[in-house]
Amino acid sequence: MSAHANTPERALPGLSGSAAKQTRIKGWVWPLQQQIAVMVLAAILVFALVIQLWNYRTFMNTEIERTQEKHLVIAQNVSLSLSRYVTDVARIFAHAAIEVSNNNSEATRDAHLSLLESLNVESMVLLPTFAADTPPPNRLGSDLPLPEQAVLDDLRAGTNTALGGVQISGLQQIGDGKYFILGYELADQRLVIGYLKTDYIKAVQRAIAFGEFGHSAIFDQFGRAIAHPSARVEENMVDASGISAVRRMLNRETGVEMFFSPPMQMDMIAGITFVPETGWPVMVPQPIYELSDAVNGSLSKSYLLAVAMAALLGGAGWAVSRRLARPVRDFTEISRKISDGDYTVNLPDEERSSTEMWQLNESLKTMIHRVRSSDNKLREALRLEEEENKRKSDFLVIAGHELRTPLSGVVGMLTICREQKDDVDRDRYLDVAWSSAKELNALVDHMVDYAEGTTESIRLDPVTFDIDAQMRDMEALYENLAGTAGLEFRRTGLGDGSTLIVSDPARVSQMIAKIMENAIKFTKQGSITLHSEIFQQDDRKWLKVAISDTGIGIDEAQLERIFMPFEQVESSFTRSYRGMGIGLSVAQAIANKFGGRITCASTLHEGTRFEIWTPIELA
Amino acid sequence: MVSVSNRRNILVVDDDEINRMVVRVLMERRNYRVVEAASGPEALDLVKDETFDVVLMDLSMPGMDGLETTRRIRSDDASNQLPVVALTAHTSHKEQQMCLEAGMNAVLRKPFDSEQVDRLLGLLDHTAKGPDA
Repeated sequence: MSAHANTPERALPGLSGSAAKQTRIKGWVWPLQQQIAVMVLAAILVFALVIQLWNYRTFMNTEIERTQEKHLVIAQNVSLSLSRYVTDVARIFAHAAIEVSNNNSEATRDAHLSLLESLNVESMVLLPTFAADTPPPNRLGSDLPLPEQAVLDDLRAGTNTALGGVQISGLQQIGDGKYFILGYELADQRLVIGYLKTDYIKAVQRAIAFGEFGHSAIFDQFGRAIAHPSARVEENMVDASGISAVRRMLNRETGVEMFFSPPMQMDMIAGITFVPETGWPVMVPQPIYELSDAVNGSLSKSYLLAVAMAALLGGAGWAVSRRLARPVRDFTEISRKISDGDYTVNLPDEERSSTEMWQLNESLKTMIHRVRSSDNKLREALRLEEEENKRKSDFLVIAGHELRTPLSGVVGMLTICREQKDDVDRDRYLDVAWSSAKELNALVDHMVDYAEGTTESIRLDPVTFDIDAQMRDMEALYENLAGTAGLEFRRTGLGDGSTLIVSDPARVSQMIAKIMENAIKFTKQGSITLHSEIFQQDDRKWLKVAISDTGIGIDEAQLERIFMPFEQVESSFTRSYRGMGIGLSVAQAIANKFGGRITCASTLHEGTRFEIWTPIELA
Repeated sequence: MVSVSNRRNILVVDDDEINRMVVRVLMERRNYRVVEAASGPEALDLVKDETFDVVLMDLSMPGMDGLETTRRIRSDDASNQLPVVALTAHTSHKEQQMCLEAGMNAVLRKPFDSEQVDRLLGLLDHTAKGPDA
């Protein structure tokens, strides 16, 4: 496997990609904000509609109630005025009839005629009795034709007592005019009739006009129009007794009635009553639509209110939907980024648009934190693996080279010997070949040790042995090696007496050897000290072996890396030191197996001190 | 082949004493005068003072490696035509490429035998005299 360039920003396989982006929404889906906006708008519309309907009904009912009062009062006033009028007319008429019948002087006639005329009684006629010898009719005022005999008969048979014995006919067309015929029977059974004009009644009727079509209408006791805003109706004395309202008044009812008016072609509402003395219907009607207008006037104000409210609610809805939709949109954007492998997204510290959003924000933060840390772990693991791979492949390259150096010594010397078999220096060449072969062997041992160390296959065989004796052996070996390298060697601590301990002497020697080789390799001049002692710490007995040199030292940055395998191996042609950089990691692996450790302290250019701590048992 | 009167000068640059020894013995047997240098700077000094027919250059050396030493030899007008042969245990294609890019003329792989040395020397002899012969 080739070593990859270390690219931390590279998306991890399986975590990258934009599956979310590629998924297309099937069907019709609206953004949240639009949905909320539409819902709020619909709610406002329905709400406003209901309010308006309710308002309309309420306003209308109120208006009708008011109208009932108003219209009825007007009708009653008209009725009162007419009542007063007809009472006066009847009194004066009866009085005049009696006076004139008693004293038919010019003065009496004139006085009473003017009195009658002031009350719109245009003419008074004293009819003779039905006896054959009766004098001719005695007439005051205008010379109007006599009404039909049936009218006269009705008057004579009349039983109305409300007007002091004066009877009043229905409205009659007499000549060009319309008159009520008043009738009063004198004691001598003569009938006095009067022609009552409708001027005053009309004037009263005309005086009532309000709104656009609000008016009054007065009918005679048979339901024929006396005074009516419609000239046609009035002119033709149209019989209105077919109309429900008129029928009620003819039945002497007072109240409010809604009906359809044929002349107006409109639905009307009317206050209805009657003149008690005559039974004349008096009504004060108004088209219902005018009421609606009034209601609509009020309604339009409430419409305005509703619109203002809708605007307010709409604004509030918009704000709420924004408040809702914005964080949702933000979260969506963030989750999209995360699914694209971008964990650098920043969530707001505090999401305050709502409790739910706050909770969502918090859980998202936790999630991102977890994903980010696991992503970092993955990246770190990947990076470490890549580093490890690179180190291994570098190691193979360097190991190949390192093996080839002594090998080329062997091959080179053998080539020399083969080429010229009688060379006088042949033995020397063979010696060099021999030492190169031994160096090669040592390198191979190193690699095997390393492979063993990294595969955790180190086996410990604890036995009882004399650590002092072992230290003496070490001294002998390294004094020689250090001397060859031009270095001074010192041993302190253990090595003078005899101390039996239980441990694995071969592994202890191996650890010391790795570090000692290191010390000799990196020390150009000066000395190397091997110090060992046994002491108690943490309820255990420890063997501490310290190896100090006066070598090149290790700078602080590199200190923590020296136990990593291949660390000495730089893939460059300028390496100053031979070797594969696996000695220290092998030593460390052994120490770990013991349950001990190796520590290192160093000052650059001054020297390095390693300590091997191994737990032991005293025998 | 090479005549006695025309004894050639060869410079061996290698930090490993054994390697230098191998080259020296083999070359002296082939009637070359062998000068040894244990490092790049040492080699550069020698190239300035003496005329060599060929330089055998180890690549891995502490301080200044073979590539850098070759580049410096090439940057000097006096020695920019001097044949330089890489002496290396690094055998990958990439490393051979680096050697040629640094201005080396050929690569002799370690470990080498008599035949490889002869072939290389023949090649150099031919190249040196080629155009004039």
